[in-house]
Order: sequence, then structure tokens, then C-alpha cells
Amino acid sequence: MLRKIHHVGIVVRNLEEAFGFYRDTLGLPVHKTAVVEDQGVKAALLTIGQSEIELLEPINPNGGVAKFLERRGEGLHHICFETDDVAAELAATKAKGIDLIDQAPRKGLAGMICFLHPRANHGVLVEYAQPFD
Amino acid sequence: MALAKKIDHVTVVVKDMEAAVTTFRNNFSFPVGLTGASPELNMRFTCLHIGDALLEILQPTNERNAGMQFLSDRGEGMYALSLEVESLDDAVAQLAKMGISTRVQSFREGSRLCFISPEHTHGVVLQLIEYSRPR
Repeated sequence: MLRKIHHVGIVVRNLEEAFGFYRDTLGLPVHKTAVVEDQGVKAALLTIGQSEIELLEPINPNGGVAKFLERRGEGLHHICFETDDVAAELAATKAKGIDLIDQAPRKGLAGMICFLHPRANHGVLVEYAQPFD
Repeated sequence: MALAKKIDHVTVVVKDMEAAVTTFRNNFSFPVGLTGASPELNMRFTCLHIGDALLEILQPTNERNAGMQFLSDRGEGMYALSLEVESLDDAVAQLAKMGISTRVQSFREGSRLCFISPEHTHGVVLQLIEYSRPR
């Protein structure tokens, strides 16, 4: 079962500059920052209510996030729904014949995660996450 | 103290609201909430519940809705992020101190909102909402 919005992902050119608005102006506390090599990003999660805002700065010019930034510029990138069991959620999604990006859960900043293909959801890139803690 | 207290909704702009609602219901089983049309805003919408937030499926009904431009520029997708604030007046005053000007508009049922220009938000169409009563 999908419980809530875990986070909304925003692609930015530079994480430190984006902190100027999201951390300093909106006053959202930075919960976690990390380099996620396999997604080619430096990322930060900022807490807002029961959810988070994830800022993504591309660090690998060949990664999907770098390409998004080049094509579209900064802005909304994906939405992540939280689940207690990402493997079961992914299996159920697969059983419905929904197009996926990930065939199996993998480690991400938000926990064990997977991405669905945006063509399955009217152009929306959807992520599922099962937090580690 | 954070200026915004929670994510209120994420807006997805689509060409065909009924088709999109069917897709999101089938894929995620989110319960359907408020649905309607706003002739003055030139759009139709359906809200789906996800936890304490909403996914707003928005179909622009003519080119006076900014979502129509978004559709022709890049196609369907995530369009806007809306955050709930305790006091819109306090939020607007705080933003003004940071050199960010906004315009307050009325929203459904006596609630109010303001947009922050994407030039300040790193490309995000961001709105702040103050509800007149719990939604």
C-alpha cells in the first residue's frame, strides 16, 4: 500500500544555491545529503510536514538528471510515494502491466527505491520508496 | 520555524482528465476527492488522496490557463507544487523581506493562495495556500 508522498524531487543546477530558497527562505531543515553515484546526483532531503523535498544536482553529465536539466532546465522532476514493502509494491505494479524503469528495488537516498516509467503515468516520473529507518 | 508546514498538493497537467484519473486510480488506487470545474480559472480538476496530501489532476480548458502552454511546450506531467501555510499574510511578509514579491488571490471556499515566481524557486511553479478551515 502506498501510504503518503515521501518526497517531491526537484532538479537544480547547484545544491548550495537552491538551499538559499528551500532551506533559508522556506526554512525547511536539511535532513540528509548524499552523493548517489548510480543516479549521477548529489542530493538533499529537506523535511516538510510528513514529507520531504528532494533537491537533485547532477554530477554525471551522462546521467538522466543531467539530461533533464539540459533539456528542460531546473524544476519538478519526480514524485515519490512511500510504502512499507517496495518489493511487493513493485511486483503488484508489474502484474498490472505498468511500464517500469527498475525491474527490482535498489538502494537510493530515501531507502530501497524503484522508478516507474513516466509514459505509464501521463508524463509523471513516479518513484516508490521503503525507508531504511 | 518553517514558512510552509506541509505539502498540500502536487498538480499534474493532462489533456484528458477522465483518462488520467482512470490511470492513476488503476495504478495506485488513490481515493477520489474533490472534483469540479473552474470556468474563471479555465480548468477542470479531480483531486486524489495520498496520505495527508492530494494529487490534483488538472485539465486546462482553454489557452487562458497557463497549464495549456505547459502542455504544448512539454506535454503532460508534473506542473506545480502547493504548500500549506498557517498564515499567508505572515508568509507574504517574510517573502517580501527576502525580496520576493507575490500576489495573493482567493481560492476555493474563502481560502487564499499566492504564487512564487519560478525565478525564485529554481524552476518550480510554487504556490502557498492558507485554508479558511481544515480541508
